Amino acid sequence: MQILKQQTRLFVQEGIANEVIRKLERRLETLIIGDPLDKNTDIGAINSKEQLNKIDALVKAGVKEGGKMFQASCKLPGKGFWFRPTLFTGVSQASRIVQEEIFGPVLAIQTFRTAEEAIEKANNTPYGLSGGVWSDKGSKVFKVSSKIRAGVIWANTYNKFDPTSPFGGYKESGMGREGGLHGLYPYVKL
Amino acid sequence: MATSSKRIPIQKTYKLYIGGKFPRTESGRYYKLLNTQGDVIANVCRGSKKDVRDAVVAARKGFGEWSKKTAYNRGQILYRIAETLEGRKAQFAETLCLQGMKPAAAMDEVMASIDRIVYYAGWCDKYQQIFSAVNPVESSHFNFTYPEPTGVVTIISPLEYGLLGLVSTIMPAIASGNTVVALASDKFPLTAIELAEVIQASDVTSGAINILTGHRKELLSGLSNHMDVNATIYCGNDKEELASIRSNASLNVKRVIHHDFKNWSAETCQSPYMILDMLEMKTTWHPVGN
Repeated sequence: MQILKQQTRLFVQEGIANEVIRKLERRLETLIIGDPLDKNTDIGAINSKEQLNKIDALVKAGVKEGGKMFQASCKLPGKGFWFRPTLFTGVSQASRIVQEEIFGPVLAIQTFRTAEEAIEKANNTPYGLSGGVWSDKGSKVFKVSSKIRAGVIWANTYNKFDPTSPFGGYKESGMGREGGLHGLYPYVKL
Repeated sequence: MATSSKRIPIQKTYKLYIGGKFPRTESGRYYKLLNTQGDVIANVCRGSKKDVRDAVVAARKGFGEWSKKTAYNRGQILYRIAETLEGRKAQFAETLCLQGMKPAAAMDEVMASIDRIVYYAGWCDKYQQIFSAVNPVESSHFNFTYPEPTGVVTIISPLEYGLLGLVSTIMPAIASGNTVVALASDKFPLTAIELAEVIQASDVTSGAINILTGHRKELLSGLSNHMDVNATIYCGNDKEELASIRSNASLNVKRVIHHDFKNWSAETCQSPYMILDMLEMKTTWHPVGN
């Protein structure tokens, strides 16, 4: 079972952690960084120099705080603001790359033993926009998804959107919902 | 009966209600509550910012257990509050009179309060269906949305309607599993603490409802800028107070709910949409396939 939130934190069950991390590293190596208008591109440029500096600073802090870093060895375009897809393992809950919103291709991986532990770690953040749960056991998916404090949960899927599906977050991830019936509530007098 | 004529009645000390206990304010401060003739009728705890923080900690602690209860069970417990209050009607009417109300109006307010608690007890296991949806997405997914409580709610209760105003703001919040910290009206602190005694006798999780007495002007900021509070209800029409609450709330994206009802006994002051104000919507995607 795995849980992913903010697309920056991944929680993997201990028993499968090594295999998942190995496969993620292999996948990272095949990601294509480049022109966002090119259909083959997986990851485009960072939107500004300021943002690139912020990502860079957070990643350096991650290394300094004792995290183990893996970066794809891909070629980066010469011009523009680019950042290599990056994985962190061995990071703690208090680490800045776990707690802060990175908005860059950086994933911090933590492990867990029980579902309760994963839920507690996943909820330990002031944000709660979206998250994902992967498991081959349906009842476990429902248990975990009902306890994650986030507005959208993707179960055994990720990043799906639809105009009929309400989108929006809990806690500091914003107010209200967009899309679906719930997106219409602010526009009607009840 | 010779001894009874010599008996000195026990004076009640009204305290705060935090985490299922009745502590004095940590500040040791009191304010004098006067009756219409200007006589002191009680020394009332003048709650402090620290009391607000303690109450928020208690409310957060109570959230797990209270929100985990089944909807039906929460309904039973709300009904139990109404039952207990029904048995103490006379006492509450008397205390409202002591705080300046006319007897008939006081009894009307007590009965309206009991009915309002029963109203929300009924909604506890029904609002979920009317606010849920199965969403007709294009892709091959089973996609549904349902409400969950937002968390800890602070309430700045109406200045008038000391009992009914408190009940009308607390009940829709706790009906869905939220926990609350409510500030009583400066003018009606006694019924607020007596309500706490009723709540304490009604199987409500410790910390699910916390009630403070004190000065609104002083406690407004603590109730609205606390980073572990998810929503703040403000009852009143002071534009400056409302603006400061909105500004404080933006620190951690609190939901601000504003009520400015003139007559809290009106039917328009109870609605399932008042439960909706303090709900978060969770949308879940499940693939459909082999």
